[in-house]
Amino acid sequence: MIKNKGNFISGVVIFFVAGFMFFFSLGIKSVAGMTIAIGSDLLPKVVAILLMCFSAILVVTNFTFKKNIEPQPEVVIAPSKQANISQVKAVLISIALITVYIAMMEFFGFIISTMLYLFAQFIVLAPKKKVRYIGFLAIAIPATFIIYFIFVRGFSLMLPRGLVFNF
Amino acid sequence: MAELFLTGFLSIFTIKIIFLITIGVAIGIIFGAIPGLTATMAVALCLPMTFGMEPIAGFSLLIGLYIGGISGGLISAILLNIPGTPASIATAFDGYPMAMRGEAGKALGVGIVFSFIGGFIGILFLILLSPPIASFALRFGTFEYFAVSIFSLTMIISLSGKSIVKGLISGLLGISFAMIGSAPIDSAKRFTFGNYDFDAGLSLLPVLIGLFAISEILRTAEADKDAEEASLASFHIKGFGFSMKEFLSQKWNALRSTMIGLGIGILPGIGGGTANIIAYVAAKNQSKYPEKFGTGVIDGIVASESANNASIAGAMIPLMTLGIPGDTITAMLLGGMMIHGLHPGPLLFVNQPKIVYGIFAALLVANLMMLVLEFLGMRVFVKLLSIPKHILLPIILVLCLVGSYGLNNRMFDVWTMLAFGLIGYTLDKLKFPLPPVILGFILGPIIEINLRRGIMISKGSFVPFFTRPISVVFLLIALFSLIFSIVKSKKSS
Repeated sequence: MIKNKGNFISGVVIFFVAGFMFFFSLGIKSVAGMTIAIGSDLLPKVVAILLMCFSAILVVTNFTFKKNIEPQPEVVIAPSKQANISQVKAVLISIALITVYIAMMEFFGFIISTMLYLFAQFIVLAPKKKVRYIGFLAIAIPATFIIYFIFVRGFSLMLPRGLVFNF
Repeated sequence: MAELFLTGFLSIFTIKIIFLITIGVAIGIIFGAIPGLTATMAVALCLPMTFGMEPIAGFSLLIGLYIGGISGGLISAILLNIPGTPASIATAFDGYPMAMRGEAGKALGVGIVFSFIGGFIGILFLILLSPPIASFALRFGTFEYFAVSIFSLTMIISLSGKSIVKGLISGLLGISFAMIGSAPIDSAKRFTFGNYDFDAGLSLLPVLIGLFAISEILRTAEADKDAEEASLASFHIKGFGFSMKEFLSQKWNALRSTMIGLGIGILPGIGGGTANIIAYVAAKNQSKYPEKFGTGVIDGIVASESANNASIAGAMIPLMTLGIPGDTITAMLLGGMMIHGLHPGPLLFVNQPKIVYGIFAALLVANLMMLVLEFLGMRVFVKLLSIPKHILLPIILVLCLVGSYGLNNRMFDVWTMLAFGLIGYTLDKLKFPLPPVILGFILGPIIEINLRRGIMISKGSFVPFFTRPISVVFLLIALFSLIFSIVKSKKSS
């Protein structure tokens, strides 16, 4: 019986990732004459083996032979967390928004993509009764310009200009 | 030393730098006070602003953020019963009951004054202890650096989190991430998969910002957005809010807590977040009236606040003298120093004493500014607590992105930041501690380069690692700390 699903799955995933790491570290070529005794492939191999060992320990110690074991409090997802699927949705949509935002920036530049991102992200994170489209626009647009001018003019930092509009 | 100290002070006594420290402390307090925003995040966001500044100006800003960020947590701990940062958890134990009794002003006054005192004594110890430690560390060669790095890594693994196996996995993952790119010494390509962007390896800052800022934003986004907002206790400050008699009654408590904070801060990996709770428990155990703790006695606030501010100075000691960060914020500072071409460690004391003593002076000034700003600007900071999260978090994310991009002007770093945000969020969900990841990332390359250099010097022999006295002592402590924590975790399970 598995005590903690999260530990089990993460143990298995890390074990396989470490396996791949070991496999790829077999192909690391040290530059001849530059190293004595230890090449550039040693540490990756050692770390991969250790990771495999510890993730195996994590998986093995998660099994128990007692059948009617009380589940650990960790295993049970708190009811309040379970109940609110919209929160998980908010995180997933936020991750998607950030990904699209970064991808967009290369093409549309910082200013346009930031305005759109901020506006969309405000809506996703705001409680339903506090969604104000005009109000959010009124924050997203000046906030973008303020950040742009502070960093570009004030701190001489470069920000992506994009390929489409070039500003 | 007095002369060096004077030079340091003179280097920061310009209107610009004092202004930067003040701004840093103010922003730090805001980030510390608002739950969900952390001092680490504040430093991450303001780092890009320092790129174009001269080093001492940049660090003055960052140090202001650090001190403000740690002490700002007391505001929400006392008024909302939600610690703004993990460093103020124990402040809420007695601070909030006092606020409920109508003594919020007194609780804030005690918190602010003892934050200042804890911070001040801590910084004095930093100034006195660092030069001898640095001159001792000058004797360190490649074997000793290897041992010290192994020691730091095992300490953080054994001290952070409940599961030692998970701590070890986190640390090893950090080392693995650092291996991407060109290997030290012979520049052999590792795990680059033919992608040129990987050749130079992953930069520290996007990794840090991702792990500690982006993942934090995602965690906060996950919080119940329709939940009722916590109600703010009303407060009124007159003078410091407490009497001289009350102040004097706390002197031993304050001193003990400061020492606990300082000691814990020095140990790699655990900072103010642990120091305040340990100091609180120690104060309770030593008290004549332990039963009153938790009902609103000033002793609890004194213990927590003097310990967490002292831990700042503690964490700066290994950073300045050995180049090993004690917590996530000092890891961020290390990244900031490297951008300016400075490598903290014993040689910094020899080559750049002006910078070292400038940083000490900036710490003292920032600590004083914290006291002044928190007393004068309390109403403003409290007002800012009501800024809605759904407006604040997206703007912070944009600033994180600006910081990551501004480092090298390439989108690859921004993608790295996002990737590490997701990695940090997932690891945190699965209850893997995050600090070992970053320490592994920083210490992995130091361990490897010193191991390989050592082996080259000894012509293939491992023996010097175990025969040189300093090296063997650190390796033995590392071994004992690991065995001790394994035994301890066995007992507790």
